[in-house]
Amino acid sequence: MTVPAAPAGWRHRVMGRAVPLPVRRNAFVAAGGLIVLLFAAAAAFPRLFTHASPTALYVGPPLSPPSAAHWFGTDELGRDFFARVVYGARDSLVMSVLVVAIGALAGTAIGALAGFRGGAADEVLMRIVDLFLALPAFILALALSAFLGRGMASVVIALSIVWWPGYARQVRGMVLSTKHRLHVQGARALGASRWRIVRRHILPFTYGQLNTRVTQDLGFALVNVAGLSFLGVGAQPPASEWGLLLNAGRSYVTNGWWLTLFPGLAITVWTLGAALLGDGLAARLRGESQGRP
Amino acid sequence: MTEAGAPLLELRDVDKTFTPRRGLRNRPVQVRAVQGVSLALPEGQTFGLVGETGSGKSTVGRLALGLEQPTRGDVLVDGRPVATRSRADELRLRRRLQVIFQDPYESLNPYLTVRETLEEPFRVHRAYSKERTPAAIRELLDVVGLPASALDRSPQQFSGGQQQRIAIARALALRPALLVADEPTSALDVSIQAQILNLIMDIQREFRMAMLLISHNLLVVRHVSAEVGVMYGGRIVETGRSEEVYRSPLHPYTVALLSAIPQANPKKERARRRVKIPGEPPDPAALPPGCAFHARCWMAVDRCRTDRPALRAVRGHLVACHRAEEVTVPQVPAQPEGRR
Amino acid sequence: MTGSERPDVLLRVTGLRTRLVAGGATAYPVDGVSFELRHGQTLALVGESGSGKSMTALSLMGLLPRGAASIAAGRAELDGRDLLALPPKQMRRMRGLEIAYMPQDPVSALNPSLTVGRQVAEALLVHRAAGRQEALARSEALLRRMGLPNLPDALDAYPHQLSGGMRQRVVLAMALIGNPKVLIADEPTTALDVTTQEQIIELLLDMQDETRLGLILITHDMGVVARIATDVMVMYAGRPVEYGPVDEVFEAPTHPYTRGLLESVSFEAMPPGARLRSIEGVPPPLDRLPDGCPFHPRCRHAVAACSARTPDLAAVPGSTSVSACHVARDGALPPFALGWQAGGPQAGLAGEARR
Repeated sequence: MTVPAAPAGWRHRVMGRAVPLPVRRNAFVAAGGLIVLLFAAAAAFPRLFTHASPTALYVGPPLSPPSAAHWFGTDELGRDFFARVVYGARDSLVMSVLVVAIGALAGTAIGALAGFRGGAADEVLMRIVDLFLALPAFILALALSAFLGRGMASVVIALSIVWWPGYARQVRGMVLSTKHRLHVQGARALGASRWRIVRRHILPFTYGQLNTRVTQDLGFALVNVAGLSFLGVGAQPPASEWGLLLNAGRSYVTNGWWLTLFPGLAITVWTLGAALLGDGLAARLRGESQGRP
Repeated sequence: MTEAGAPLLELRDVDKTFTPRRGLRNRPVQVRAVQGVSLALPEGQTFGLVGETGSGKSTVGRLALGLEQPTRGDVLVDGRPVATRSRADELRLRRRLQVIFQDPYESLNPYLTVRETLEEPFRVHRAYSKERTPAAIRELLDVVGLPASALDRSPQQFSGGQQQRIAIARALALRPALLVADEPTSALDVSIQAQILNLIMDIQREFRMAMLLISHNLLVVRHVSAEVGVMYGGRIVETGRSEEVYRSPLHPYTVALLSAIPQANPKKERARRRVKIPGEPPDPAALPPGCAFHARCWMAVDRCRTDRPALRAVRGHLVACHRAEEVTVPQVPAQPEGRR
Repeated sequence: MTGSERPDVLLRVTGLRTRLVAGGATAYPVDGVSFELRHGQTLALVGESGSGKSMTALSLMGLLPRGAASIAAGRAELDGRDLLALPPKQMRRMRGLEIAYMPQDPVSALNPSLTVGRQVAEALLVHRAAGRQEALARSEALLRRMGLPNLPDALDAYPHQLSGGMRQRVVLAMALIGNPKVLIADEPTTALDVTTQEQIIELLLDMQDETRLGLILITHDMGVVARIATDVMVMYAGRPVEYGPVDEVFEAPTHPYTRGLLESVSFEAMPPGARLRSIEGVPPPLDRLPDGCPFHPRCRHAVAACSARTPDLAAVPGSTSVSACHVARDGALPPFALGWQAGGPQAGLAGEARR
C-alpha cells in the first residue's frame, strides 16, 4: 500500500511537539518577526548596536539634538541617548517577557485545571478570574505595585497577577471543547493518566492560539510596563527603561523633543512588531482550521 | 446464552440515564439512554449490538469500556466491577479492553506521529522497552497492512481506511482480551469497508479476542458476530444467535429493520414483501410508556401500550414482545411491475 | 422497463468535462460523462469519494465554485436548451423550476434562522412564481404530502427542532415545490437511519410516479441503487466506467470496479464469517492519475493494454450496458458469480469460507 508523500515543509516543531502547520510566506510574519528579532538582539547584545555607555555623564553637550556623533542626541545630563534607549530595551523587554511568561504559564495551568476537572474547582477558579477581569487591569497593577514597593520586581509581580486570568479563561474554554473529542476518549480507554491526557492530548490544541496571544501580549505588556515606570512605580533611575525615559523627557518637550520621541517610538514599534507577528500567526492558524490540512 | 466460568464482560441489568440541561430555561432533562440491559460475553466470542439513532448501543459500548458509569446495575470485567478503586486496578482493566471508534480521523491525535500513537499504549502501561517495543510496533503495522514508512508521518496524511488501520494497530498493541468496535466502518468508503471488516475478522480470529461490535447494519453484524442483540429505545428487544435472528426474527422491530435494508439485487428488491413503519425511533428523553415500539408496530394491541414486555425465551432466542409467537410479515403486497 | 414505448428523453448530457484548478495543478473531477434521462425514470450515479458524482451534479446545476472550477466541455440539453451554455441569469431561472438539487447534508442546507414553512415557500418566492399567501399555502400542502407531522404548527418550527428524517423531508419539499422536471438528489439517505431511509425512498418513488419526474440519484449505497434506479452509471476517478440498465449492471457487471463494489457489500451472498472480496488499494488522487485506465493498478484482470491506453465506454459483447474496460470489450472478462442468483449463499469467486 502506498503512503502519500509528505508535502515539503509540512511539519515544524513548536514547543517540542510536532505541529502540522503548512509553512506559508506571509509579509506580516516577516515584518513583525524582523522587528521582534531586532529588538531582542538589542536587549541581549547592546554592544552590537552601540559602543557608547548609557550611564557615562557629559559625553557630549547636554540636550543636543540628534547628530552624526549621537544618533539620538544627548539628554539633560549629557548622556548618549541612543545608548540609553538601546540599553533600556533590556529592562523593558525583560520585564514584559517575564510578565507574559508568568501570566501565560500560570494562566494556562489554572485554566487547564479548571476546564479538565470541572465541578467545584472550576466554579471557584472562574469566579476568581471573573473578579480580576472585572477590575481595570492597569489600575489594579498600579495599586499592587505601589503596595509592593517601587522597583522592577514589583512591577513584574503586579502585572503577572493581573495578566493570568485572561489566559486562564481562554485555556479553560479550549480545554472544555477538546475534552470530549474522540481521541481523548481513546486515551482514557487506553488508561492514560489525567495528567498525560491533559499534557499530550488536550493542551497541544491550545498551543496555536496561545502562541498568537503570547506574541501579541509582548507588545501590550510592554505598554503596561512602560506605563507603570512612567508613573514612577517601576524601574528607577539611573536605569533607562523606556517608560522612565518618557517621564524624564516630559520636562523637555520643547527643547529636547528627541527625549520623548525615541522612547515613544521604541515602544510603538515593538508593540507593532509583536502585533504583526501575532496577527500573522493567527492568520496561519485560521488557514489551518478551515478544513483538514 | 450462559456459559461456564466468569464471562469476560458482563452487564447486569444496567441503566444509564443522563441529565443534561436543555431548553431556554436550562431545565434538567432525563435522557434514558440505556435501560435494563444485560449481556454476557465469554472470552473469544463475538457479539453484535444493532440499533438505530437513540437506541443506546453506543452508550452500552462506553459502559463496557468504563468510559461511563452505570446509573444502576453492574458492569463486570473478569467478574470484577469496572468502577475501579486504584490506579493499578484501572491499568489492569485497561489492558484487557480496547476500542476502535467510528471516525478514524477524530480518534487519532493529530499532534502525534504514527510512531508516537502506537507507542502510547506501551508508555501508559509502563511496558515500553527500548529494545523490544520498536519491533513490536513494526509487527503491529505488519498485521494491519501498513508500511514502516508510515511511522514518522502524522495521521492526517493518511486516507480514512489507513487511519482506521492505525487505530486498530493501537488497539491491538497490548493484546487486549476484548475489543469494542463502535461502527468501525460507517465513515469509510464501501470498498474500504470490506477491507477493514476483513482485517477485523482476521485479527479477532488470530488473536482470539472477544469482540463487541456496534453497528446500525444488521447484515454486517450477522456476518461478523456469532450472536446479536437488537436495541430499541434503550433496551435489548431481541437477542440470540445471529443466523437465527436473521433467518427468523421474532420482534416486529427486527422484522422491520431487516425489511428496510436494501440489498444490491434489483430483481429481489422489486419482489420483496416490505414492512412499512411510520414515525421515527423514539427520543430517549421522551420514551413512551409500555413497549417503546408500540406506536409504530402493526401488531400492537392494547396491552402493548401499558405493559412493557420483558425479554423471554421464544423458539431459541430472547424476545421482548407480547406477541412474539405470532410475528409475521404483514401482507404488504410486492410492488407492481414497472415501478421500482 | 420493457416494451417498445420508452418515455421521451428529458435530459441529454454529452461529454461533460469539468476542470478544477487548485494549487497549480489541474484535474478533471468529471471527465467525459454522457447519459440520457427519461421522464419518470431514475439514473443512479454511483461511486465512492472522489469519483466525481457530486461534481457532476454541481456542474449540471451551474453551482461550481467560481474561480476554482469550470466547465471544460460538453452539453446538457433540457427542453432543447443547453444548461451549460446558459448565461448565469437564465440558469438561475431554471434552478428550482426546471431542474432542482437536493444537497447532501440537510443540516447545512437549511437556514437555521428561518422557519421551515418559510424556507419551503422561499423557493417559490425567489422566482416570483407565486405571491406570499399562495406560496405559504403551497408550502404547507407539500409538507403535508411529505408526511411532516403536526401541521400547521410544524410550519413554524426551526430546523434544529426537527429530527434528521423530518429535515430531509423539508429539503425535499424545497426542491420539489417549483415542480421541476429533473431532480438531482445528492446522497439523500446517507445520514438517515435505515427505517427512515425506507420512508424517504418511498416518498421519492411516490413523487416520481405522480409527477413523471426525472431523478438523478447520487449515492454510494448499492442497495439503494438496486431499489430505485432504472439505469446506473458507475464512476471512478471522474470517469464513467460502466453505464447501463440496473438489472444488467447488477447481475452481469462488465467492469472490474463495479464487480468490486458489488462484492464488497455481498454479505448475504457469502457465508457468515467468510472474508469479503474487497478491492485492494485506494483511489488515486485526481491530479496524479495512473497512465491508461485509472483503475488498472487495483484491477485483478489488468493486462498490458490497460496501462497503455485509457479505455472509453464501449459496447460489451453479450450485454446491453457499456463499459470502459479493454478486457471486457474483448470479451475476455470471466463470468461474474456472486451466488445470490442461485438462490443461496455460495462461496462465489473467493471460495475462502473460514469460520
